[in-house]
Amino acid sequence: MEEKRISVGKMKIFKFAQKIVTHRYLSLAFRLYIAGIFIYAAMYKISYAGEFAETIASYRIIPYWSVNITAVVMPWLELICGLLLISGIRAKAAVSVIIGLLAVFTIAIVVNLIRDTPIGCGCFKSLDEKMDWTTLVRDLIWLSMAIHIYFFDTLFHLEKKSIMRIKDV
Amino acid sequence: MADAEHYKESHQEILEEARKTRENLDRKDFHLKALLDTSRELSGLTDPKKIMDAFLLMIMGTFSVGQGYILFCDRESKIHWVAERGDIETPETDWETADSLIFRCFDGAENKSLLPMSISKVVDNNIFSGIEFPMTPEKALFFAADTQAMGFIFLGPKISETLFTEDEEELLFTLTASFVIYLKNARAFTTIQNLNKDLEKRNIELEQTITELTEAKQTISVLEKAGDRIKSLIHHEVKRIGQVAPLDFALLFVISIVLSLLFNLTSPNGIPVVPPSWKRPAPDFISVEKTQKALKKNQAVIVDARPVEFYKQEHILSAINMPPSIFDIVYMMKFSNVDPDTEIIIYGRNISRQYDEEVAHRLKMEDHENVSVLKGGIFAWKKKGYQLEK
Repeated sequence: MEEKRISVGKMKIFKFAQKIVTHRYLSLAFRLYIAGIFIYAAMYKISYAGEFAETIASYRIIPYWSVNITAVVMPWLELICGLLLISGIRAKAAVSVIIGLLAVFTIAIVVNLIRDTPIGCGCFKSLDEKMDWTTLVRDLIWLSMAIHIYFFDTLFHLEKKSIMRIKDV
Repeated sequence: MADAEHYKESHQEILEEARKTRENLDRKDFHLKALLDTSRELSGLTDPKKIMDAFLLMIMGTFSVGQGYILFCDRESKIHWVAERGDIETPETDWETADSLIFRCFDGAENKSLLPMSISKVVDNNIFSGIEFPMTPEKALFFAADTQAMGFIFLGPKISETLFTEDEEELLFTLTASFVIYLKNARAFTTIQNLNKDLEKRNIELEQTITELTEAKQTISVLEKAGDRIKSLIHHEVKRIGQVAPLDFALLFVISIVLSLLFNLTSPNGIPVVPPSWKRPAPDFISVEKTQKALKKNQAVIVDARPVEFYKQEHILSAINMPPSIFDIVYMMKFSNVDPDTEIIIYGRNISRQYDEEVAHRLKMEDHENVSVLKGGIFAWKKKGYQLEK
């Protein structure tokens, strides 16, 4: 009888935790945070494409002929995805791209940690601290947040609001 | 003798009686003829003005009158018609004048009746007192076709200058009654015509309304279709918001590429998208062995072109670190006094950057002719087991 009571209590706690973890407002907070990070990170990289190209090159993953074009295009992709995510226009597609980018960054970090490359992550500026395992953990947290946004984010989407307003009309 | 005289007188009386009877019959015949002619003349007419003209001509002929005037008013629609003949010249009669004349005649009529088809003799000779009328009627009749349509007939003196007899007056009444019937019929005909016109107009309006309704129906149908289409589009869009479409990715990438290239093109911090080394001739390469020998004999300067972090990790013994990013400073500090003929060997490249080629190019720009790149770089050096510094 006592065991059954404990089991019911555990179930209630689990359900409550599940409700908190999958809550839409949590997802909204993640969305604003991730979008803000991407917009902020993109601004510097767009202004100093040369420095960002050096950062990419220091990872030693992509061929030399694609470094500059990647350094030019990637910050804009980050900026546009960040803006779309924060405004809730094509948010699902934007967060999918962000998940992809974070996955690539994570793999690049893992590869270079294994290689013991003495470089900063270059996530925000070229003169970042030397990357270590905490950089990987931080990227993994961001990746988890982005995945959370993909599955649970439904609040304050500008696109959805406009469509609903048209539908009402 | 007396009998003969009596017979003669009696005969004379009979003859006189027969003459009177014949005269009476002739008059009746004349009356009937006049009535028949009037009916024949008026039967085909539907315009009040024409009826009045024809009638006036008839009665002036019948009674041998030199002057005649008929006025007929439709008080409902405020229209009047005038017919005149003979030596009279009446001024243009407006509606107010016509109405006033009708009122005066009605006022002077023997029987003041407005019943339909009523005819009355005008007995008051002072009906025109105070106004100027160009004729003095010998006979005047007031008639009413109905309560809203009425008029009068004036006939001047007979040409024979004799007065109208009772028979003639009676004939004039009969003919006028026939005339009023035709006028009434004409009025009815006009009313029917007007009704027909009105009906025709209404028909046109109705047709127009039906056309407009049909068009409106078509418009509504088109709008309904458009509405359904918009509804389905919205439904589709609402459904699509929660999904990821390949087109979204394509758009994201295309927009990013276009904007970034445009910005890079115009930005002062823009970088070349195509590697500059593609546009330059390939540098001279030197093998690891030759490099080792040259270094041993102090005949060459070795340069590590990689970023400082990599240099610090490990580098070839006595190599000078001169990455492209700080080339100018390092060159000033360490190469400004080096003889341009001195052999300079450069290494440092990876999959993502050809630092050695970049530095070799820039040294050549500084007039160093004897510049070559270590073939295989630091990896080949390591493979051969030559000394490295950490």
